[in-house]
Amino acid sequence: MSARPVLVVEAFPTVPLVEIVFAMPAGSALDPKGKEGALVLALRSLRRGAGTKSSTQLDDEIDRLGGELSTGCDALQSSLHATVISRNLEAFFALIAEIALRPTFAEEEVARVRREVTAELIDARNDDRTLCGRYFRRTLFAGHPLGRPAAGTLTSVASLTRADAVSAWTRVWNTRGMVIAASGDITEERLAELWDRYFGGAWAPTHERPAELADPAPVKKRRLVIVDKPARTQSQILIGALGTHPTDKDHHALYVANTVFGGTFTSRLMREIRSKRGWSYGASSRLGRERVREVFSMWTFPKSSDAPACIGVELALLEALHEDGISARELSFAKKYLKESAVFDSDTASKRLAQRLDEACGDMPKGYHDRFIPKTQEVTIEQCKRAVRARINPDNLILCVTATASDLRAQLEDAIPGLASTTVIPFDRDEFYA
Amino acid sequence: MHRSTSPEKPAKKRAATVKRGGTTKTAAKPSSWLDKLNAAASKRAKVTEEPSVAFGAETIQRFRLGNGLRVLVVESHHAKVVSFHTWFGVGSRHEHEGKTGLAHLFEHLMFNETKNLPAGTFDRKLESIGASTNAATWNDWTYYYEDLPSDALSLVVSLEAERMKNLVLRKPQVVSEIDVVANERRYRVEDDVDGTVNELLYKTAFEQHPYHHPTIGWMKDILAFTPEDCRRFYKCWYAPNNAAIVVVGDVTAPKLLALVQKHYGEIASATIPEETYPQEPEQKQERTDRLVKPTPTAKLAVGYKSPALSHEDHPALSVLCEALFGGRSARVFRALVTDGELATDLAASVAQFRDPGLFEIYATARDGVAVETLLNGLDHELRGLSVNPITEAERERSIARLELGFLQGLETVGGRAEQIGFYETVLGDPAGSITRLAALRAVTVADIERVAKAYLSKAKRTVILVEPSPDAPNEASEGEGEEESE
Repeated sequence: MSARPVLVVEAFPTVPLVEIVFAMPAGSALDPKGKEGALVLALRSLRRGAGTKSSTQLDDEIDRLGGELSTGCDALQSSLHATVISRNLEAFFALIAEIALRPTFAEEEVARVRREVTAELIDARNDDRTLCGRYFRRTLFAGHPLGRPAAGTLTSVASLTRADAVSAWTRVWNTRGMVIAASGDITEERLAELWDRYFGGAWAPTHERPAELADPAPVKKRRLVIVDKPARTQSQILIGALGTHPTDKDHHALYVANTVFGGTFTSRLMREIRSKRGWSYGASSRLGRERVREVFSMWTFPKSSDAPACIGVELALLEALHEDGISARELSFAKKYLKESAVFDSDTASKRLAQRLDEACGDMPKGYHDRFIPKTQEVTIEQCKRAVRARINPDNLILCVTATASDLRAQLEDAIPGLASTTVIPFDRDEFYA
Repeated sequence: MHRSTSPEKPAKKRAATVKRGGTTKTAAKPSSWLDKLNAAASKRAKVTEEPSVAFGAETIQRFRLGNGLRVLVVESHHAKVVSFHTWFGVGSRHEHEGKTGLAHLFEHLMFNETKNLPAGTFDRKLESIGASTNAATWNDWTYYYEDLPSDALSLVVSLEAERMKNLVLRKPQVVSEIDVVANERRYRVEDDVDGTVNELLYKTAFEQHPYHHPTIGWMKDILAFTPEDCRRFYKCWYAPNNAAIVVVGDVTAPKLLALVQKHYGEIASATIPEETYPQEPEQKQERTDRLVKPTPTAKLAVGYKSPALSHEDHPALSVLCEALFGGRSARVFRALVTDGELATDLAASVAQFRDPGLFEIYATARDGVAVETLLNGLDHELRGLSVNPITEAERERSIARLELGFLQGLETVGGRAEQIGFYETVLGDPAGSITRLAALRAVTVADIERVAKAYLSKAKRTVILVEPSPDAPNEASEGEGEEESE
C-alpha cells in the first residue's frame, strides 16, 4: 500500500531557494551491536550510484542544478537534507527520488565510503574539543544507545559490509512516520505534487517506528576522564551529567536556571571565568532539549596551567547554584531575556520550519515551541531551586578534559574534591563503552 | 570574534537574497523628512542623502552625516527584527611590527567600560532586550553587530554611539582582555594545527605587506600591549568618518536617521592616517616551510599569489577555484579525495582582500599518505590544466554552486547587512555582492584558462608541509612571551 508522508511547509517566496528535509524517525540506535556506523555508511552511500547513474554522474548533476545534498544521523532519527536554487527544484526533486528509491550500493562504492569514514574518524583526533565531547558522551551514556557513536569506531566500521548498508537503509526508509519538511520558494501544494509525481506509489512503509529510549542511568560520584594528547597548551573541559526531558514538570524551571548560570554572555559562569579571571575565551553551560533526557554541561577551555583552578571555580559555582538557587533579580532578567530574544527563534522560514519539524517528528510534544516562552514566564524562584536540586547534583558529575596527562593529571585530581575515579584515554585510541 | 558562540543558541546561519517584493512598506520620500531633521542640526549632525543603490529587489538607501559617518539602510519588514552593523575601516593591515593584534584586541575592549556604562553593562543592556551581539576583525576591517527586536532600535543606537565616543581604556580593562585574547590564540592557533598552518602560510608568502602578520597577533605582542597603545589606536581609527553603519530589517530610514543624528551627530571626525605600509615585491621563487606536529595525519597548505578583490581577474580565478576544489564534482576534489583517496579533506578559496592575497589550498592527507605524495597529486592535477582546460560543463557547475552560496549567504537580515558592510568597506560599493555575482556569471572558459596560466605558477607560490608525529612539541611559531624569530 502506498502512502504519503506528513508534509510541512514554511513558504518564503522572496528567496529563490528551496530547502527540503526528509526526516525519518529511526536512527543509529538500530545499528546492530558491533556494527556501529552501518546507517551512516548507508546514508553516505546513497549518492554513490542510483538507478542508471554512477556516483560521478550524480555529483555532476547535483552541482549543475545548484544543489546540495547531505545526510544526518543520530541515535533516534536520520535525514536527507537538500537545498537547491528554486528554478531547478523539479529536476532536483526527481534526482532525490532516484537516489532514495533506487540506490545501487555498488560494492566498490560502499567500500570507498567506508574508507572515507575511517579517514574522517582518524582526522577528528586533530580537534581537541571534538575529542572532549566524544569521550564525555561515551562516559555519560555508557551502556545506553545515546553513547554509541553514530559514525562508528575504526573497529566497527572495518567490519561493515554492503549487506549491512542495504539492511540499514531498507529498515530506515521503510519506517512509518517520515516527515518531509520544506521551506523557501515552495508551497505545500507544490511539494505534494512533486511527491506524488516522483515517489507516489513507491513508498510503502512496513516497519513501525522504534520505541522511545529509556532514560540513561544517572551519574554516580565524580569521575574524571582525561583524553591524553601530547603538548597541549590549553585544556578543553566539559563537566556535566544528565539534564532534562521535555515532559519533565520542572523542564522550564531548569531551563531558566541554566540561563542564569551559563546561558548568556553575562551569566554567572561567563562573569567568573572569563570576565573576572580572563581564564577562558568561552565559558557557558548548556541544557540539551531533545526528545530524550540529554546533557547538562559546562564548557570552558583555559590555558593548561589554569585548568585545575578553573575546574575548582566551576565546581564551586555549581555547588552554589545547587545550594542557593537563583536570586529574584536573576530570575527576572532571565525571563525578560528569554521573552525578548524569542523573536530570533522564528525570524526565518528555515527556523520556523525546524520548530514545526520538531513537533511533526515527535521530537517535541505538540505545541511545545508555542508554549515554551509562556511557560518560562510562569517559573518561580522556588521552582528553579527545586529543579536544580532534583536534576543536577554537583557530587555526581563526569569531568572530561583534553590535556597532556603527564603534565596535569595530579593537579586535576587535587582540584576535584571527592573524586571517585580517573580514566586516562590516549587521544588516538578508539575507546568505546558498549 | 569577541566571544565564542553560546551553545544554547543555534549558530548564525548564513543565507539568502531577495528575489522579488523584498519590502512591504514604501520608503518615505527623503526630502520632506530630511529637511525637518536638518532644520536645527549642527554642521556635524546634518544629514545628506546620497544616491540609493539597488540590492537585488531591495534598495540600499544611503546617507552621510556632516561628521563623515555613512549610514546605509535596507527596509525589510518580513520579521520584527533588525540587524545593526558598524563597520570600521581598520584591521590588522593597519598595525605595525611589535604591535600586531591590536585591532583584534581592540574589538574585545569595545565591549567593556565606557564613560557612562560601567563594565558589563553594555552586554547586560543588550541581553535585557533580547539582542545578540558580536564582532569580527580581519585584515582590512573590523565590524560590530547587534541582532535585535525592532522595537529596541533606540537603545542599540545609543549604545553604539556611546562606545564610539566614550570608551574607557585603563589598565584593568586592558590586562583582563589580554588574558582572554591570549587564550583565544591558544584555541585558534597554538593547539590547532590548521590555525598554525594558515598563520605560517601568510607569514611566509608575504615579506613586506602587513598581510604577513596574523590578525590575532603574535603572542609576544598580545602580552605586551599597554593602555596607551589602545588609547592611541582608538583616537586614530574609531571616528565617524572611518565608519559605516549598515541597518537591515524592520526599520524606516526617517526613524533610524533621527536616532543616528541624535546620538552620533556631535561626535567629531578625525584625521584618518594615510596608509604608508610597504608594497609586497613580486614573488619570483617558490617558498617552502615544513612543520612537525602532534597530528594524526599529514597536512598541506599551498598559497598562490592572487589579485585584489577589485581586480578584473578575481571573478575568473574564483570560478577556477570552484571548478577545481568546490563540491564533490570538482576536479581536484575528485582526484585527491574521491578517486585517488589521498586526502580526507580539501578546501580552497581566493582571498577577498583589498590588496593582493592568496589563492589558498588546504589538504589533509589520509592515514599513511606522505605529505609529498599529496603535493605531487595536487601538482599533477594543476599541471593537467594546460592540456585539459576547464570545460563548459565544469564552468556551468561552478557558477551554479557559487550562485547557491551567494543566495544562502543573504537569507537573514544579518547576512545581508554583513554583505553590504563588507563590500562598502573593502570596495566602497555596498551592492558589490550583486555586481560580483553578475561578474561570476559572465566568466568564460577562456577567462578561466587565462587566469590559470597567469596565477598558478610555482614561482609565485608558498608551500607549507606538515608531517605528523605524536610526540612532536606543539610550540607556536612565536613561542609565548618570546621574541619573534625570523
